[in-house]
Amino acid sequence: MKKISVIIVVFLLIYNSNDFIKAQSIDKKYYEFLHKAKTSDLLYINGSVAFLINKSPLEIFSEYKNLYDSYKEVVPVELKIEFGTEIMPLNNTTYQVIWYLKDSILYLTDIKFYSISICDYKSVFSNNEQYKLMEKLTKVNIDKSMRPLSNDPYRHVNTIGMMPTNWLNDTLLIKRARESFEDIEKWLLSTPCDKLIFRNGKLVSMTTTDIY
Amino acid sequence: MYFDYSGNFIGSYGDGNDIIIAPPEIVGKVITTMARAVGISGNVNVVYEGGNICAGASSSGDIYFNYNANIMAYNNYFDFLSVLHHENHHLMSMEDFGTSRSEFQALIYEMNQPSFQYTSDFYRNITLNEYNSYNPSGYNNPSGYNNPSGYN
Repeated sequence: MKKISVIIVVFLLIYNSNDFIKAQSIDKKYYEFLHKAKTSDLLYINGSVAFLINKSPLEIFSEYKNLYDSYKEVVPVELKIEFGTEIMPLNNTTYQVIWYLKDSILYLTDIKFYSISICDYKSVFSNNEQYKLMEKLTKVNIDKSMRPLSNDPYRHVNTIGMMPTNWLNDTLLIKRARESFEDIEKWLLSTPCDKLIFRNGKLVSMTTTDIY
Repeated sequence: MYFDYSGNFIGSYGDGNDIIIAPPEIVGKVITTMARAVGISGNVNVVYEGGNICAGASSSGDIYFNYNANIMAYNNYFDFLSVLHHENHHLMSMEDFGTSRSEFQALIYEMNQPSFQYTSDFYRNITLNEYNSYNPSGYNNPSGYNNPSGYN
């Protein structure tokens, strides 16, 4: 009886520490992108697949982080996010930009504020001032003929149009975001980053890298 | 774990981890009761976000708990408790608010709580991997902080 108890205790100890051992055994190179990414923005490519981005396409505009500081409702929020599904909004980030790569053109499709419930957007921005301020910052108008993304009610609220990123001449690293409940280890080990090169907002090159 | 309709803790029965709660208003009251027990004195608000968001703490000291969070599917009392420990650490270290150091320390704090071992496999896994994405340097986005890891 005593032996059985010992075996059960050992089994339980091993079972309970399984996740910990598994998590600790993954090489740190597979966390490199997550470690280095500097923006919580998300990119969608041709519809519903979300990607994490290493830096914001708005970085060229020095005041982009403070764009909505005059709104008292817009404040930083520390979030507990399910691993790999989004990048944590750090360094006083108050909003998340949703980008959409459609027909090789990168568009700004939505702006999500962490401290405001989606159903309260209209009371804070009664005349869609969030997009007007963004137009003022980038000096690019929203193209009302371009239909914004609408498949995720928690991320897609814009119904006006999309803003082409004419200013963008840069290289972005992206990594497919982990879907909720997707196996973490499998996602980490099998999702390398892609390198996207843009000229005037148009994608000119997309290659898979050995960066994870 | 049992709570009444006002969110007051009534008691526990057996040795399981299950917590059964349903409508948002009850969730709000229960989470508020749990939050007070871990030392959170600010407002606790129930919000409706995508399932990948568990909870949040604002710089004004409020706590947000996502009614749609995927962790709700596991009905594990200790998952909720661990989230509250995490958010409480943010509130206790407002001088670091919004930095990667704050997030890393909050993860260590919640993982060091005795209750963490009783969280669901799902919750433990996402938290350990989140911690791993900071470890060994401790801090992401090293703006203004030392980054002694191999990452540059």
